[in-house]
Formats: sequence, structure tokens, C-alpha cells
Amino acid sequence: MSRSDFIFLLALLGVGVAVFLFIHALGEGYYVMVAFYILEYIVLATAWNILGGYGGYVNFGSACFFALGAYSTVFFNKLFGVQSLSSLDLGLFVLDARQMPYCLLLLAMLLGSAVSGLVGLGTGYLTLRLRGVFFAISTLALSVVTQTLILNWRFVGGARGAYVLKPPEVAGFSSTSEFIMAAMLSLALLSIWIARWVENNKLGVGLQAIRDDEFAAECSGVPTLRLKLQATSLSGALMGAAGAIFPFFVTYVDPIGAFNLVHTVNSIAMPLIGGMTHWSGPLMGAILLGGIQQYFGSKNIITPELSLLFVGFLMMVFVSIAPNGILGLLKAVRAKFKS
Amino acid sequence: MDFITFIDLLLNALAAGAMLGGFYAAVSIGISISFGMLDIANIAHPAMIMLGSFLAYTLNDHFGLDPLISMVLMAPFFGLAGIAIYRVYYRLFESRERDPRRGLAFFFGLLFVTDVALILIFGVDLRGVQTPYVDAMINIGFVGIAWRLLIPFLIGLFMVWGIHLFLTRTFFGLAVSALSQEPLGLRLIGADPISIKQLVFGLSVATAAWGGAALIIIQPVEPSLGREYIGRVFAVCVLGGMGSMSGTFFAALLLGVVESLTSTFIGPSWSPAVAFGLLLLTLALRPTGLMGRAMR
Amino acid sequence: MKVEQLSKRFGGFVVLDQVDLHVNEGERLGLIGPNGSGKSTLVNCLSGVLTHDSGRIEFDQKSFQGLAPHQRAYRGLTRSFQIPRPFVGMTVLQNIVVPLLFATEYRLGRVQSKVELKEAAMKALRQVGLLQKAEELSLNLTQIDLRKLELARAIAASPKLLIADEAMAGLTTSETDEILDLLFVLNNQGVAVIMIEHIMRAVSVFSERLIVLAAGKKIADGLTAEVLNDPLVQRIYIG
Repeated sequence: MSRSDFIFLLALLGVGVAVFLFIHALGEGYYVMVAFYILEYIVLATAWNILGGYGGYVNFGSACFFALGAYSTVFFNKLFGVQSLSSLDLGLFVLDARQMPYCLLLLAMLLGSAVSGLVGLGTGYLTLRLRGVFFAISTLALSVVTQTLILNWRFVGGARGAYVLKPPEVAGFSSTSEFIMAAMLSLALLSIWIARWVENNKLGVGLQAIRDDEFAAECSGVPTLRLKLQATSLSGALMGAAGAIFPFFVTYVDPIGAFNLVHTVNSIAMPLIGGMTHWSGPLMGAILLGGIQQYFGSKNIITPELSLLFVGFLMMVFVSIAPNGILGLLKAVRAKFKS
Repeated sequence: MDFITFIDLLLNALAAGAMLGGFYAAVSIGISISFGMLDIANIAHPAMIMLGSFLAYTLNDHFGLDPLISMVLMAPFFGLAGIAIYRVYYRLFESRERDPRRGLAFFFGLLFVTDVALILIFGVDLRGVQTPYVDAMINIGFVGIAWRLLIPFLIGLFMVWGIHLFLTRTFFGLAVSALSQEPLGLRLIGADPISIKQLVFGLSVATAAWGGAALIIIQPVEPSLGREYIGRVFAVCVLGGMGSMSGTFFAALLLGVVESLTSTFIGPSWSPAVAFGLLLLTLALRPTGLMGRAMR
Repeated sequence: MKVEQLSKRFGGFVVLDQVDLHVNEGERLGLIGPNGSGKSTLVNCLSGVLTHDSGRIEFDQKSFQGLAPHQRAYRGLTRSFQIPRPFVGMTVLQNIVVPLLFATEYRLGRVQSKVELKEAAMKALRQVGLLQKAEELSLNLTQIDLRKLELARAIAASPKLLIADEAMAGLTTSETDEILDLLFVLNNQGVAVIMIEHIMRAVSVFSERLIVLAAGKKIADGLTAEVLNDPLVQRIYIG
């Protein structure tokens, strides 16, 4: 790890701790909920941007990858009944009920990311050899189909949904919700770290070349298919990890909620509006748009549908007029100042 | 089950599937035109179909108009809307840079906005139309065909045949066919590609009016139904060879039959998966479709 | 490189009809032919963008069968594009880094440091005369500079064979000479070059051997002077 990487890691951890302490100090569960959703959107937007922004391949399946993560948690929860355990003997040491959640959540994230990552890889393998528009259409159709499959899968609850128990207590945190929010916070930090890492390494350069001119990139030696698959799997895996945490927070998961198109729209709108060329874009977009939606949703000033309409409309405006998002606008302003 | 029952089920499923296929042709033809010929991935097309359905419902509910009449009335307005949308699309995207991805996001936004607007106006309840033929059936041997399936099938057939005639017999239609293959040549003979393209796109959107009317004849609708059709219309378009009218029709028939068989013998909830499966299969194995030209 | 009996059809239309050709190490080969003779298709088949229907392509005595374009670049075959295709979001320097990062790194078998990359990129830019424009956005370049960038990008991949696809089309006489000089210098460094061109002056000066394509068939293959004097060639192409 280079020196600048190390400094960035420290800064990231510092910001994370500061954010957590801030939310903790605010006291009310309401702020924990808002923070959770905004952090979730940071993960989704950043993950989407790895393939969509850096690579230029629009993915309409974010809701699907997210939901697959959520349902992998539901599935393994039902399969192994882990939550009813009061203690776990791991041989070297024993976990009691207050420490179990750490293990649970970590396992859930790994499983969720594995499932979504694999699905991303599979879909990508079939469609990424063709023009980007076919990949986009396939991800859109994939969302619908996966939702239908889950709706009919009685083991995970089908249309009736499924319940996931929230652990009553967690060691080191004042409430379980805070713990889960902290988990999402860690994932958000991780995704930012990964996005920055991708930007600066070979994968990022290759993706940018693919975005600018895939043909020329391929002939210049860029293994376009392989890189696209890597980006798709990585993106899907991160979304799956976020989805895997979700059931623990809301305790009730159903196909309509998990596959809600709002996840897809937001994961595209946020990087678009924030800026797709740098990891700070999705971050800004998530905080801004997520904040707006949470604020209006909670105050009942406008219905959730209306705020969604607003996001969709804003997305169309930005894609037409300011395709480089806020980052692009800032750059243009700075350039004007120079001259 | 015994053999007679099996044959009975099979024949009915095939008949229903064929009817359904005709209907799928009606809803997919718009995409065959816009995506197959103009290379515009209008993923908002299913939402436009839903709009057509809901407008047909409103006209039926308030004025008692039969959807068959409504669709003729709606078509010109949809066509005009299509022209307007194309002009916006062209000004913002096609003329500036060759990046199709922003266009995708634009249409996705359109899809989404239309979807949510429909939910806001009509809610999530199912809406159906009252027509004299909605419950009637005709029987051929021991195969029963419902009028509400037969009429959309005829609509689809008519649309495919009509547009095929238009493309091959009229000068304008020939110009459109030429456009999709060699835009430069068109300019040389003095035709303006842009005005042709906008009219063609308008036609594509106008078909959504007819498709929407056909849909609400088949079944009551609710806004999120459109989502199921995204996979279906693009599957039909790709399978049919991207712009070939006859290809679209046969691909739609194939989809309808396979879905119907799946629904009868495996379970109705798997239908959306069929279209998607066919789409993936086609993309993976034979991207040129059943009868069409190459993609790139 | 050796090409045997290469054929390619689009639907019912035969674009390439059993074309044979070979290029020796360090050789300068010219490829000419009227529009529609199949030159672009041939280049696309050689670089791997299109799959040929029948025939063999051998490079360095190893078959190219089934290799993707980027893999052929690794083996040492690069091409420049007729209409320049720069990476528009990147600066000139960054454009050159891409093939360095992928093709050359593969060939070297180890990771290059940022300093190494920059030096190698600068070297390639210096060779084509674009050094001063290193930090400029590639989309702001003039036609001639874009052509130079195309070549620089192809050179950066340390090729054994470069296919220069109409690298001089639409340039002024002096600009054409600049590109020509570049190609000569490159060839002196041991890189074989296939020059595809319509500008007869350039082709006749540059090529040691000349191949003529017409309607998908090879109709001439030999020393430049002989081929140019062949009456069949003169009738079809020049006359």
C-alpha cells in the first residue's frame, strides 16, 4: 500500500468513526434509520458506478442484485435457523448471543455478495460480448424474472414475505439498530475504498478505455470481456452485500419491497447527478438525493411516489443537460475561473 | 393424466398460445421499428403501452367507448407524441455525440416517470373494460378460443401485415427500409433522414396505442404490468431479427406458444421467465435472430 | 505472418475469396485495391475483430485461430484505425499508457512502475512528435495529430507487425510525408509494416513488396515495381 493509500485509509476510518459517533449522539432511532438508508444508497450508487460510470455499461438490475443479497440472508436464515441459537461453539472460542451478530452479519454479507456476484458474472458472460444496450435490457428483464421466481418460492416466504429476527442485544452497541447501521457504514467505507482502488489501478484504466472506445481498447490490448466481467461481478457483489444487511434492519422482507424499482433508479440517478468519473460523485449524489427522499418521505410533505417522480425527472434533466453531474459542473466552473 | 385430457390441454394451450402470440406481435412491433430499424432502444415502450391501456380504460369508463374505437382515436396523438419525443431525443443525444448510453438513461427515466405517474393517477388496482365480447368464446371442435384473445390476435396480424405493406409498397416505406441500411444513400436522393426518422419513431409510438388497447381487451391492467413486457417485447424483437416484420410475427407466435405451454404444464407464474430465457438464449446463440440481418 | 486461403462472407456476399499473403520479419508490405475490394475486412480479420470463415492465419509460426484482438496485440500485431479512434476522455499521454499497461506489460511479464510507464509513453510521443501535447485532451487534437496519436498508440504496444490502415487519408502533402517518415523510422527499428493506402506515391515509395486486392481476390503479389507495371493491376486500379 502506498503512502497516499494509507493516508486515505486513515481518513476514511476517521470519517467513519466521526459519522458513527455523530449519529450515536443524536440519540433518536429516527436518525439511525435515515443514516442507514443513506449509507445503503452510498453503497449501491458507488457499486453501480464501477461498471456504469467507469466502464460505461448501464446496468438496470441494481434492485435485483440488492434483493438477491436480501433473499440469500432470508434463505440461509431459514435453512440453518442460526438465529435461534443462543451460543455458538467455534472450537477456539465460544460466542455468546451478544457476540453472535458480528459473525452473523459478516457471514450474511459474504453470502449475499457471493450470490449476487455470481449472478452478475453469469448475466455478464451471456450478454457482455454484445453491444451495451443488450446488457442493459437483459439486466432489466433479469430483475423482473428474479422477482417472479422469488414470488413463487415458498421456502423464502413467496408473496407473503419473510421475517428475520433482529438480535435483541449486541456487544459494544447501545442498540441493535445502531450495530446494523455501523455494519452498513463499514460496507459504505469499503465500497468507497474499492472504488478508489479500481480508479487507480489497471482495471480502472482499462474500464475507462472501454468506455471511451471499446473497439480501440480491445485492439490496444485491453482484455475487454474479462474486465467487464470483473466490474460486473464486483458491482453485483457489493450490491448483494448491502442487500444482505437489509433484512436485519427491517426484519420483514417481501419481494415487492426488495425488488422495488426505487433501488434501480436511485443507483443510476445518484452517480449521474453526482458525477460518474470519480468515487466522490456517487457519494455526493447519494447524500443529496437520499437526504431529500428521506426528508420528504418522513415529513409527509410529499408522498414517496412523488419524491421518486422527482428523482426520475431530475435524472432525465441531468442526463440531457449536465451528463457529467455536479462534478462536471464544478469542473466547468473552475475552468471558467481560470480563463 | 390420461391421453385425451393431455391432448385436450395441449390443443387448447397451443391455440391460446397462438392467439397470445398475435397479441405479442401487436405490442412488440413498435420495438421492431424503433430498435430494429432506427437503432433506438426505447425501453419506455412498455410504459407507453400501459398508457394506451389506461387511456382506453378511461375512454371506456367515462364515454363507453370500445377499445377498438379508442385505439383508432388515440393513435394519431401517440404518433405526435412520438415525433415530439424523437425530436427531443435527437436534439439532446443523437446529434451531439454517438454515446447511446445517455439515450438509454433518458428512456429509462421516461419509463419510470410514466410508470409512477400512472400509479399516482390510477392507483394500483386492476382496471378492466366493459365490452360485449369480453366473456364470449367460439368453439372449433374441442378447442375453445376466447374472443378477448382472438381480437388482439387479429389486431396484431393486421398491424404486422399493414406495416409490412407500408414498408414494401409505399415510397415512404421503402425510404425507411433504405434508411435502416444506408443512411448516406438516402441523403443523396434528396430525402432528409431526420424527418423520416421522426415519422418512423412516431409510428412506433402510435403502435403502442393499439397494443395498449389490445392488452386491456385481453386482461385488466395495473401500472406495474408494463414491467413484464420489457423482456417480452425485446425478446420478440431480437428473436425476430431486429426489424423484419415477418420475423417479429413468428417470434411473437413462438413466444406465445412456449409461454402458453409453460403456463399449462408447469405453472402460470413462470411466464415472464420464458421471455427472458428466450432472450438470453437468442443473444447467446444466435444474435441475428430467426430471420434477420446481422446486429452490429 | 502467413495468411492462407482466407475467406469471409457476409450473408451471400463473398467479401474475401481465398486470399493468401505473407509478411516477413521487418518487411514493408503495401496493400492496395479499389474501394470495396475487401481491404478493411481483411484488416479486421487479421486483427481479430471479425472471424474469418475459412483459411489460416499464422503469426510467428503460431496459429492465430480463436484469438481475441487483445491477445493478438499481445503476440505482437497492432493496427491503427482509418478514422482515428482516440480515447476521448483521456489526455494524449494517458492514451499511450493504455497499450503500455496492457500489451507491453503482458509481454514484459512484470508490473511497470508509474515512472517507467510515463517514460515509455514520453518516448513514444517523442518519436511521433507529440511530446509537447502530452497533457492535452485527445479530443482537441488536429487531424494530423490524431493520426500521429493513432500510430503512437500502436507503436507503444511494441509490435512486431503494424497494420497502418489508411494512416494518411485526407492529409496534406507535407503531413503525408511526416507520417511516411514516421513509418520508415519505425521500420528501421525492426517493425514489419503493412501499409494500406490509396495515395500511390506513398505506397510506391514505402513498400518493398506490394499486394493488390480486387473484389475480394488477390490479383498481384510481388516486388513493388513489378506489380505496378503489371497491366492487369494498371487496368483495374490505376487506369
